[in-house]
Amino acid sequence: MIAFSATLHLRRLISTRAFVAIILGFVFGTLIPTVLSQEFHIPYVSTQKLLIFSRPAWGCQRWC
Amino acid sequence: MTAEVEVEPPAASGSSWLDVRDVKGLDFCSPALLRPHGLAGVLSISIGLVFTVRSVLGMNHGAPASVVAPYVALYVVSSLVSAAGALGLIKKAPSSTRVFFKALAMLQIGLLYFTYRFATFPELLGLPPAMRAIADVAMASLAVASLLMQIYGVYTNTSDTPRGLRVATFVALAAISALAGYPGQLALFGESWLRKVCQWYPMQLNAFTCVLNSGRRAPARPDAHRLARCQVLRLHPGDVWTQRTYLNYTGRRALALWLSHLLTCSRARSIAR
Repeated sequence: MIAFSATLHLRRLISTRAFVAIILGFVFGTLIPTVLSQEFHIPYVSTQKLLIFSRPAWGCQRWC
Repeated sequence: MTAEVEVEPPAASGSSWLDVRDVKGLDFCSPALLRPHGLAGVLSISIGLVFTVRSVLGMNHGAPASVVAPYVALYVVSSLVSAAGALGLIKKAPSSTRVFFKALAMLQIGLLYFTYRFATFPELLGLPPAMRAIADVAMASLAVASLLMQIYGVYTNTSDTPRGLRVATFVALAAISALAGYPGQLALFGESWLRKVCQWYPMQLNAFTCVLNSGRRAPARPDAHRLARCQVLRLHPGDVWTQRTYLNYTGRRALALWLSHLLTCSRARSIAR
């Protein structure tokens, strides 16, 4: 969507303001709901850590 | 997804947000009928939107692989066709922006491989482990290289790009770069790292791709899932393990807890019963 909106912006079909709104809207509009939904639907059995080098600090004895 | 771009220098930014007069001029089948960039892009974005909504509603977590796999297959194929079409259209873009479009197409191809990798398809195709390891490294390198290309493009682009646009591009790039984290670790540490992660976090493959159900390698484990949801809603306050997890709440988890109370308190209680 970012690249598509960039092409539209280059062709003068959308304004710079609309382009910025699309960039930020789509990136954060996807990121925030998916992060929150992961916390809501699959907490503990998944993690949000970007670097995973160790087991959960609170233990995983229920399934490990 | 990118549409065909004519070699036409853009004028100053207009005041209107959207000019629909020229939308009919977009060619959705270029550069070739076998790789219709625009058409495949529309399909890819539509399926991706359905994926995201299903994921947010929790419909993909725990769903059988047979339900999710067709969506995944369609998404991967349509996005791949779209990216291949974009590479064929790059020469039509203004020279100052070509590096961005090329890098984004490369990034899309790299991430699509990992969508495939974290789903059940590797087993379906019977890819040998050695080939898989080589492909992991190659595709992770492609993703990282594309991100570096974009950053380089932002730095070296000295055209009259508005400052707000540059800032927005940087913010978007910073958010997108997080997507290369798991592929990079998989490329560095290999399959054993992935197995350990799946052992520590049984639903982590779902989280890797946000929406994919990979029942083979990481069983859905409904008991653990159900237990976790009950713990979020404090349905077992006497459990020592539960109390310990509450001490580790982050602000994000607390916000999710608050939302969960608001949205589905009654539903979760019925699950607990």
